[in-house]
Amino acid sequence: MRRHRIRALIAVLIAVILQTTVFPRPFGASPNLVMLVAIGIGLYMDPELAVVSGFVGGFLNDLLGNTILGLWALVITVVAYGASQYRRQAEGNLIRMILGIFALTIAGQILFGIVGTLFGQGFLADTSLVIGVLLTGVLSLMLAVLVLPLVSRLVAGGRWFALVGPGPERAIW
Amino acid sequence: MLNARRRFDRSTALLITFVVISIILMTVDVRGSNGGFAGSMRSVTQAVVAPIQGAANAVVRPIAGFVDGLANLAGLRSENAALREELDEANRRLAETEPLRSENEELRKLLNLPSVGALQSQIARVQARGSSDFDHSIVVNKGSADGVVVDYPVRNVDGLVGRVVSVTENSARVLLLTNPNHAVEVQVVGSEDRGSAKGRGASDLQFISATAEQEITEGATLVTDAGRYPAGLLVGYASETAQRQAGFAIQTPIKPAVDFSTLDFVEILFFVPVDPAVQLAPAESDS
Repeated sequence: MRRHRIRALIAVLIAVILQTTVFPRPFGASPNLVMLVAIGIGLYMDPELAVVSGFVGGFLNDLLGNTILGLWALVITVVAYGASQYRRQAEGNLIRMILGIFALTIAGQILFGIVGTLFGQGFLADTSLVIGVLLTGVLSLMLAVLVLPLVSRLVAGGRWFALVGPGPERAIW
Repeated sequence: MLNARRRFDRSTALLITFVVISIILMTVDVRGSNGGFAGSMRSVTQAVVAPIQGAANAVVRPIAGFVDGLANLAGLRSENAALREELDEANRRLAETEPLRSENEELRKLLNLPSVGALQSQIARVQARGSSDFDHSIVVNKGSADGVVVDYPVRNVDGLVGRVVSVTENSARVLLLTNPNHAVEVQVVGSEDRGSAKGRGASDLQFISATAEQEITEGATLVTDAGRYPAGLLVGYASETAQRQAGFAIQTPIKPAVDFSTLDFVEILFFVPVDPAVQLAPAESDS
């Protein structure tokens, strides 16, 4: 268990470094890698570990970015918790899992925009915000095909293509 | 079942705890002046992570270039033709403006006003970007050890990029013009109209002027006004024609001259504004 915790935190750290490095931005938007890893931990691992990983990843994201400190920490913590609670609904159902990941990334971006604006960041002044949020959701979903198997196998110690969290898993193939 | 319930409760309790901590952090950061506690934490973290980002960058950059190249493959031929046309047009304009440039230099000397070209500067490479699409900032690989200080303007070959907002020994964070909390004083080339260009995230900048008398025509060039930035740095072009309505400020979108999604090398200008008179850092050498 302790090994899994360390792996989860290392995965989050790597995601933050990659996210803040020159990450490919096709069409002017980038997938949210840190949020994806937090969602993966929520789907495949212990809910408490998901919440802690979400907070750590979000906090590091805040420290290495220029948005107010604590904003990403709040958002990714909530998204990771949401993923861990959604796990039962997504169990064994690929379509539900895809829809869940898409909805969680979109909800995370919207929460970020609203809370950031409440704290004076002016994100809602961006007239292309809706397109940006949707594009980030789609790109994150595309990247999920690569990231979630890595989280499932290398972090959670499960199968490469698993549809459920800890316990009996059902492989896609 | 009981165990599952307890775990659920613990994760919920953790969630509430972290949400409260996050709100406290946000409040402290927003209320803190000049960076404060949050600024210090950011500087320390940036200093620690900068070497790792540099190494990761070396690995990721070729992959990013490949992905961007694939995404833009179809447009490369037409872009090449358009660039050739632009180059011809630029050469023609350069030949036309050469006499004006030398005249301008002479007048500046007479008025004791150094031009942008006379400023000492430092070329830097983009090492990291904002942590999300909401974060309109970049990190460059030059810091206080290279003479960079907060508030120095940053440009690239296309125009103004932004200004330095925090510095560590070997890196600096640059707030981009597109940041919603960033505005730059601008003037419309060929007229006396002045105003400010405000960032709006991924959207075009917004030109706002309460004093402009003339209409702003589509394609009008906007450059920095003297003050926080040296005068004359290209900011962008008006995307739409806007006319002044009685009692209202002129507002029109500005297409930035710089493509912020493909920033690689930038130039940090050693320019120290002192209001109201603008003072420049001494030019020691060309770099």
